[in-house]
Amino acid sequence: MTNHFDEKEIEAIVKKFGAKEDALISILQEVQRKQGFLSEQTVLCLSGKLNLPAGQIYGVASYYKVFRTEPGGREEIKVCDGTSCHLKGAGELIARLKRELKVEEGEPTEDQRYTLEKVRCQGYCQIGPALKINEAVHGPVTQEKAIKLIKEQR
Amino acid sequence: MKKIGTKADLESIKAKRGSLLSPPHPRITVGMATCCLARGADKLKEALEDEVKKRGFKASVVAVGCMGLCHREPTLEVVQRGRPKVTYGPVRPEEAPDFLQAIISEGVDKKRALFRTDREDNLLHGETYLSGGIPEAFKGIPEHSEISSLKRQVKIVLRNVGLINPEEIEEYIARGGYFPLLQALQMRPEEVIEEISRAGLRGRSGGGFPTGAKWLSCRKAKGENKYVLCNASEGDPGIGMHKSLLESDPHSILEGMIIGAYAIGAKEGYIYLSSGYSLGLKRMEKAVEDARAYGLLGEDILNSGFHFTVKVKEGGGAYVCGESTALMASLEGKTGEPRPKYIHTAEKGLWDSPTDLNNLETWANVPVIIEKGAKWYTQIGTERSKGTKVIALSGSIKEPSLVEVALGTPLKEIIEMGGGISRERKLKAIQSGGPAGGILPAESASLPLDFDELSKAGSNLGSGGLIVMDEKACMVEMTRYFLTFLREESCGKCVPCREGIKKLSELMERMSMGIGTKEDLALMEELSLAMEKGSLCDLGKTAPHIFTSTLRYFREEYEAHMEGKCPAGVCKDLIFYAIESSVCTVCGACIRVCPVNAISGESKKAPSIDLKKCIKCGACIEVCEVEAIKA
Repeated sequence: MTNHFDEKEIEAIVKKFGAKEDALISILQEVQRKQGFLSEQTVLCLSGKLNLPAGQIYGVASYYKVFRTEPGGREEIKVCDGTSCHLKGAGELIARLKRELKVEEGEPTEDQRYTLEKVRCQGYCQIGPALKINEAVHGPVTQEKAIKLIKEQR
Repeated sequence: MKKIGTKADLESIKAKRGSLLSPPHPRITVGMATCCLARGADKLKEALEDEVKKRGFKASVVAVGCMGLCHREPTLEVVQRGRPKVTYGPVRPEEAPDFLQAIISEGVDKKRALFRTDREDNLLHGETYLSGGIPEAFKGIPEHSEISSLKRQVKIVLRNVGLINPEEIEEYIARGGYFPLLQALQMRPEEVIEEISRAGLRGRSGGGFPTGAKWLSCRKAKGENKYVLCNASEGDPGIGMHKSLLESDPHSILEGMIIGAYAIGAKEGYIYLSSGYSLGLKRMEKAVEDARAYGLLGEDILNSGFHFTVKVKEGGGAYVCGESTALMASLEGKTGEPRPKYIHTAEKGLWDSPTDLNNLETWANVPVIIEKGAKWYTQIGTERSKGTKVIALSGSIKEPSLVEVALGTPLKEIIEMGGGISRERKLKAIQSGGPAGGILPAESASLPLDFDELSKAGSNLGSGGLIVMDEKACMVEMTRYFLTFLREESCGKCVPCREGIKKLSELMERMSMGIGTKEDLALMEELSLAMEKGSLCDLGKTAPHIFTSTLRYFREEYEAHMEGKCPAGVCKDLIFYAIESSVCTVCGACIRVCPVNAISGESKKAPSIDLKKCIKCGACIEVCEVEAIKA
């Protein structure tokens, strides 16, 4: 997925969910899935289409964990840090991946390829520590296995 | 699809779908919830389908939900008329030809069989696997009643989980689904509520509020539009239970909601899902669509004159949205902030209309209570906690799994169902209720799984996550972890929660760095009290509970940290790594994985760690099979 802005696409999404306040979160989800992140331009565009103050839309976009207001990498690496995964070394795993990929949590790598994210319980408690690379879930992983899995992506 | 109007219509779908438990040809079911998919269940299913086709074998390969045997994934089962059901796992995709060969020639693959099930308590259906004797080939396989982790389970909520294809409504109906709805629609709404009240059903999201009373107050509330909501927004870290139910049996939740809506007099409903549950979302949306096509949702449901529609909504991933008023704000498209509840949501909830909110597990209980009756239901559980609870068992446990037990089952027995503590270590603590719960000591394993008993001990039943910790878990670190979590999740609306958690979390950081003091502890206790009393919603009110419970039961660990020691060897500032040469097998694994080349050694001698280089990342500990590296 590439980060972009496409007004026509946004229009179609608004049409799909309806131009109503209660559809806002669903609309933002879909826009982010397709366009990578919620830019200022996106927020202003939606403000016009939904007839809601831009401040309210930005408020929602910045409140919920799932939304990104800055561009991320093309691919996502998510490390689950739920209680069970944490107990099994998720904290150390994140620290190690930060070191290997030379990034901070939530920021894209220098080549814009990956965003490393620490996420809340994803329900993989029985196979923790769990790692999600894009849609594929792996677990339990050791630090070595995680690094190997990421390298295999390349 | 022809709309269902009468019992005869339901019967005909059931008959047409045919038997799920004793089909004429083998029915091979593969567990395909997210967890199983992570272990390659989809590849296994594909391999089996290919093989069945290639050999022209008369068998069906069906995707079902979570079988609960997370430690044995990918898991599959085979059922066929006149034979017991046999459960297998783990079966790798490349084993498919070998496996099918055994099924074709013997009817069973003894090598990979875990256990067989001869009979099953069918809640709504009355069908069983085996009517006659056990065929010779199956005799050597243990029966599930001989396996301690399985025989103690009581499946009400998980009645269909792992048995039916969650994406086929006909399979749900074939298991007796939607018959209870028909029955409920023939009762008066008040009678439905009365039945739920008499069953003693309590909310399964943690608070344990009586469901019948909740419904009644919403029914009595004045308002043209009323709403029923389903909270499927799993926020607690450590719980995969909601996910499994959504992915494995969405209709059980939906049917419960339709019955509840009828009893309350609601015309619209919402199912609120946590963000990122793509498979659960997909299956729930399919369930709603299919129910609508069959006329189980929409206008004049089952010719009763009752109208009801449901929408599925995905949240934005905020822990506080598990709180009722925050969830409702989120459904309205706003930031998920709670509001004071001096006016109950039963009177003014979603869009200021009377609203009933129940958790998905609560809803899934409803059809069973209607069909089997309150009297039957009250036989299960304890005096004040009736029925069962689904438990996601994880942490330092040999066989992490998803189980359903009668309320009142001692925690100890649940831990035994998971095979006990992994690596033969000792049980140290039990966490339940997520960040709103508490951490209890090993002695509390004798407590029964009960709403009131757990809260008396300083924890909470929560939505059913049980995380077991062994002696390598540091209570100070876990408390710090939970407070960091809550600090990020507090919505910031009220001061006691926002500032209180921040301060508690800072003081816990100091504690784990070994610079905490007695004065810090006293301040934290004082803060905890203020937060419990002064916070707006349950997030803030319960936020100090992890701290108060660990201080109550593990004070000596706080004291050790104040003296600069971490007895469990976890807190990075207080430990250093060393290799015990008497234990080391000189395999060299640690040398290979160390990212900073801090480990070196001569051949045939235990290596040593250069503490100046060591960053305490734990990579060496992970790979040491004999646990020779101590912290």
